[in-house]
Amino acid sequence: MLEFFARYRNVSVLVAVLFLQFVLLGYQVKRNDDVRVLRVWTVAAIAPIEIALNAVSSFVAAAWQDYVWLVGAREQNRELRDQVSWLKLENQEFRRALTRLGRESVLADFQKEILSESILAEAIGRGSNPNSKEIFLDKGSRHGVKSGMPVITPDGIAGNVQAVYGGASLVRLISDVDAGVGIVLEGSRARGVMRGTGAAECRIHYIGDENAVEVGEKVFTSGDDRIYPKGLAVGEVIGVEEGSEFQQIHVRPFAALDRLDEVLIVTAGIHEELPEVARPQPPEYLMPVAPPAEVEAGSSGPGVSGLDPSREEGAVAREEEPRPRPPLPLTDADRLKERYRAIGVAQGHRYGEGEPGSPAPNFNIGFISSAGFRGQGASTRIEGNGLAPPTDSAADSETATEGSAEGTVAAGSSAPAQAVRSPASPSGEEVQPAPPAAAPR
Amino acid sequence: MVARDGGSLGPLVSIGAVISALALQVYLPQYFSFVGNLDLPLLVVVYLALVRRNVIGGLLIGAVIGLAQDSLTDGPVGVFGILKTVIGYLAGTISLFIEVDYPGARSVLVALFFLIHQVLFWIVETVLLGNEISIQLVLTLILAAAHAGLALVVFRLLDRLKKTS
Repeated sequence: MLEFFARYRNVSVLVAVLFLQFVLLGYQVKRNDDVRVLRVWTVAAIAPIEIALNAVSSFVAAAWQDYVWLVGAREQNRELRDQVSWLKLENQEFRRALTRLGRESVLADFQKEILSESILAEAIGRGSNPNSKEIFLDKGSRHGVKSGMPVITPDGIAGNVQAVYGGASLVRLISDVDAGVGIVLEGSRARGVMRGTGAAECRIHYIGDENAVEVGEKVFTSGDDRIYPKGLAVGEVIGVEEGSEFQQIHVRPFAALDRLDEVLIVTAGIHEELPEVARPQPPEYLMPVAPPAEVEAGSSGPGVSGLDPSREEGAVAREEEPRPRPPLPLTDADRLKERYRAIGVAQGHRYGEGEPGSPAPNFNIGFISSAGFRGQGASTRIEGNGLAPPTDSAADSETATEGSAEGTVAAGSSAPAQAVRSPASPSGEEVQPAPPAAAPR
Repeated sequence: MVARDGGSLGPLVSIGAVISALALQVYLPQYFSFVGNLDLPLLVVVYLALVRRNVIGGLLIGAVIGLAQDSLTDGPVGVFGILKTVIGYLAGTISLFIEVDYPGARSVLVALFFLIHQVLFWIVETVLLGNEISIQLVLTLILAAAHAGLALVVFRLLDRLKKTS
């Protein structure tokens, strides 16, 4: 046996090795198992070499790409620079378009907001005269633009069309020295004319010194110029100087006149409502306020003072009750009636007793009345003119008249002036002017 | 290891050659897919078996390299082991009878061993493992020629290592 193996040693080893491997193969196939140990050893031996090869190849490749293989790098660099330049230009164009879209969106919203009909236009140039403030728009007669049409922006008015061409129009800005706009001030509602100065600001004319104009007050179109619809924003007061007769009011326009891009040309103007300004209202009295003592003596309400509607209602409710009312201050009609009654009594006339046809009192006799008729603190006296000497009754009536007049004066002196409206004085009466101290301003 | 021409190939160089062949067999196909059709461990088995002129040594070298190659695949371990064992045996046997120091003879032997290797591979896969694979004759012949040409370079490089070692 050993001799056989010795004689066929090579074949025997081959068969043995093959047999072992067949067994190994059959074992794996049958058991569906793996020879993990052998794989781990092999991978452990190969992996470091793989890593080293990978590192070396990466290094060589990087060195080759970065330092050796630079054919075309200069050309590629130039192409990339050109590409970057184009991309920058494209980016700027996109940004400009985006900004323009934003502005046009604002204009479109404003276009829907206002009542007037308008068309969108774009500024395409400036006027050739350096001293004038004019711009060219890209809309002309083909688009329905006519001379005189207002040009506005969402911020405020810009100007009006001066000349119209086929596809363009020339607009005179409100800052031009020849431009004029009828304006109204927001607070005082004073109306005037705003003219351009050729500079950034404009100036308002014909606003009298008596109008209180404050810095920061807004200015709107008044519609008086028949160019701009009423109620459009114009600008803001930035300075006020008093003049001999009219104020010098400086206005900064709201519209950015020096950098107009997109504007609206108003093709059919409709007046807008001016914005309401909340101003404190001074109290207004229909009747002089009753003295406190009288108020306390009578009802607690102010009567017909009209100061407080709730208290007024309370006064009406109390009228339904049978309670004595305090003597109310006399009105002008009451005082006139009282005066004529006193004249009649002075002449011995008894009202309500004369038959039809009986002579009426002579109301044209000498009757001197002070400004008591106006209720401004002067007394009223009745003097005879020789036709009818004063009698006791006349003295009584005089006393009564004085009393009533003084009462009226007492009430009237404490009342606000604006509550009293004086009628025209009858003929033959002398109405003395009220003292300056008590005269209403 | 002593060759007939008096040169020797040290064990470290032999092991290095084996490991390098296995590593390149795994690494190069990542970047050059056609390298995946080449069998670098086969060239090393043939070279070592021819140089050693020892049948048992050749078949054992073939078994070890074949099993290592199997370990780097997802298939069962032993397929390439059997193939490389047979190739090592044949190369070792032939080296005893003919002169194999000539590059032409080595190239022809490599091409022949590659064809035998492919036939055995088909037999093992089909008969033993039941996997149906087809042999593409033209491609196999081209690859045999490619292995023959590659063997000229590899064997020359290994001869240099043998002389300097």
